[in-house]
This record gives sequence, structure tokens and C-alpha cells, in this order.
Amino acid sequence: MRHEFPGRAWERRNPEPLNCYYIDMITRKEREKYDRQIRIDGLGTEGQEKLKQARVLIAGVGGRGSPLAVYLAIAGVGNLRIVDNDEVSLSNLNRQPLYGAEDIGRKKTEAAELRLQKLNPDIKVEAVFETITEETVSQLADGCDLILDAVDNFPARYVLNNAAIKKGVPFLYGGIYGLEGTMTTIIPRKTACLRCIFPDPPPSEIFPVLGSTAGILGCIQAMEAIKYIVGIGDLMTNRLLIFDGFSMKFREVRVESDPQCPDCSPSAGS
Amino acid sequence: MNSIVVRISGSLRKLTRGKTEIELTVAGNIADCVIKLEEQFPGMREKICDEEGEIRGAVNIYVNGDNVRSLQGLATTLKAEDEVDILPAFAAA
Repeated sequence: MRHEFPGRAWERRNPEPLNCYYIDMITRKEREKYDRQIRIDGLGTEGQEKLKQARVLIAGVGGRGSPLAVYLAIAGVGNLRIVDNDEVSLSNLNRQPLYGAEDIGRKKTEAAELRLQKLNPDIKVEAVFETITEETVSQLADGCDLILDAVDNFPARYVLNNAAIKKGVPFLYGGIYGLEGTMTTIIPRKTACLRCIFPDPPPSEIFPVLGSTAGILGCIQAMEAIKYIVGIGDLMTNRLLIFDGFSMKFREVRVESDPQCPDCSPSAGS
Repeated sequence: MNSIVVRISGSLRKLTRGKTEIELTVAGNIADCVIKLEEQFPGMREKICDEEGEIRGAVNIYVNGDNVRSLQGLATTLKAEDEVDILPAFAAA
């Protein structure tokens, strides 16, 4: 799907005509730092400025959240709000490269904020140690142009999915299992939502995960987020990407809106 | 009789002992396909279908890339060389 940027929050912060606004917004240092991506067709200085102005919610800084946050930070996405309610544990270290052994016991949000600010001191990182619930999500997502799913359970994903629908901002779903992963991009009222795709949550369990699987899916989500912010390429909308590391194959299936969806159908009243 | 390929993903591979693609000879529809899978891999039916016999909400079945929920569900007919994907939701971060 071809899409239009900017989102509403971005427009609110940037009322000036784009061509005027971009002048002098990227510093010489930033121009040099991001030179290789500014050279990408369609990205350019204007795209870099959009990245600088964007604010995204990264829900979860674990397996996928680590690479997602790292690649958005070093790409110059200007405002990262990272949310997690967990502390670093030994069993996280096989797949969460934001953390090291010295971080065990620390709040993930604190350790991640420090690491991300070291990687890119020119961006703003808001670390929020909080559980994502129906009560907290509206404030957590406030002002964000994009909601990125990096949580480890479906109840929290449904809460994020609903918040995205209510706020009218895109929601990038991802999930992994072992050497496999899936992702899709949800544009409220235009595409199928997460509830349309998976009406019920899977059973809760401790999942097998390889770090590189989280890395691959997290990087794909980061790329999709950057494409959306800049307004380039085709988004993974109404399609579910399936990655299978066992056979090293990517494939996709079609997804469709459910006219009876309790979350996003017109009768849902969201 | 139709020969089809069924791709098994995620936690369902525990039942197939890691096998990712199953070739089946199926007479009619997705329900027959599930029965055949259950014969070969006991426990598969319960993972795919709920107590009422409907496809679980956390599992999607696709025929040639289309979700059978938007087709005829378990009654979706199969023909030779169809590709079936059985995909449970992946929840891990």
C-alpha cells in the first residue's frame, strides 16, 4: 500500500510548509552522520528531517525491542519512547543485545536508555517503566506517530492494537517463535487489525527463541517504521510476512479486515 | 484424491517432530486435511480446533495464501497441488 506521511502528530508539531521547514533543520554533523542513508532514493535530507521529528512508541525492549530501538536510534529517529515493566535477567542475555551481565537486576528501560543515548546522543529517549494496560496505554502512546509492538504477549498486543485504532496511528505487529517470525503493518480503518488476523490469543507459555530470530524481525520492523515515517516504499499492509529460519525462506499470506471485528469494525465504536 | 502440501509452523512442529512440510492425499476439504494430520500426528486436531470443532482463534489456516475464515472455513475445498499453511500466532518478543 502506498501511504501518505506526515501523520497527524507530526503535522501538529510542524505546521510550516515542508520546503521551508527543512532549511537548517539538519545540522552539518547530522548530515555527515546520516550521509549513507540520506543517499537512499526517496529518503534524502527531507526524509532525515522527518525521522528527526518523529516520535515512536517502542512497546517492550526485549528480544525484538532491542534491535528495533537500536536501529531506530542510530537512524536518527528523534524521539523514542521505550516502555517496559521488566528487569534484566540472565535468561534475557541470549537475545537482548541492549544489555550485558552488568545490567542484571536493573530496569530494562533504564539500561536501554543509557545504551541508546550512548549510541546516539542527538536523539531523545523517554524511558517509561510501566505495564501496558487499558488504563495506561493512552498516555503511553500520547503524541506518538507510530506504535511498535515488541511485547511478549497477546493481551498487551490487543491493548496496543486498540490504542492504535482509537488514536488513528499505525501499529506494527511482530511475533517470533524459535527460528520463525511474523510481522504485518496495521493502518487503522484501512487495513486488517491484529484482532482481525488473530481473534484470540495463543496459550501463555515460555517460548523458545533464538537471538538472531529476534534480530531479524526487529530489524524488519525498524525498516518498516522508517519507511512509514519517511514515506517511501510499499508497506507490509494486508499481508502477513512469515519468516522461517529453518528453511531460510520468507513467504507471505493475505490478511483481510473482519467486518465483524470487535475492535476495528464500524460497529465496534472505537 | 488430491495431493497437497501442508506447511506446519511454530509450536505445531513439536507434533511433527520438526517436519515443516507434510504431503497429504486429501479427498475433500480442510476438515479432511485436519483429520489426516491427526492420524499422522496425534494431538494436532486439538491444537488446531476448539471443543466445538471450529478453528481456534489463535490459529490461521491459509489455502494458497488466503485465510479459510474468509472462504468456507473447515469446509473449504482443496484441489491437487494446493498449498496449505497452518500458522499459530507467534507471541514471543
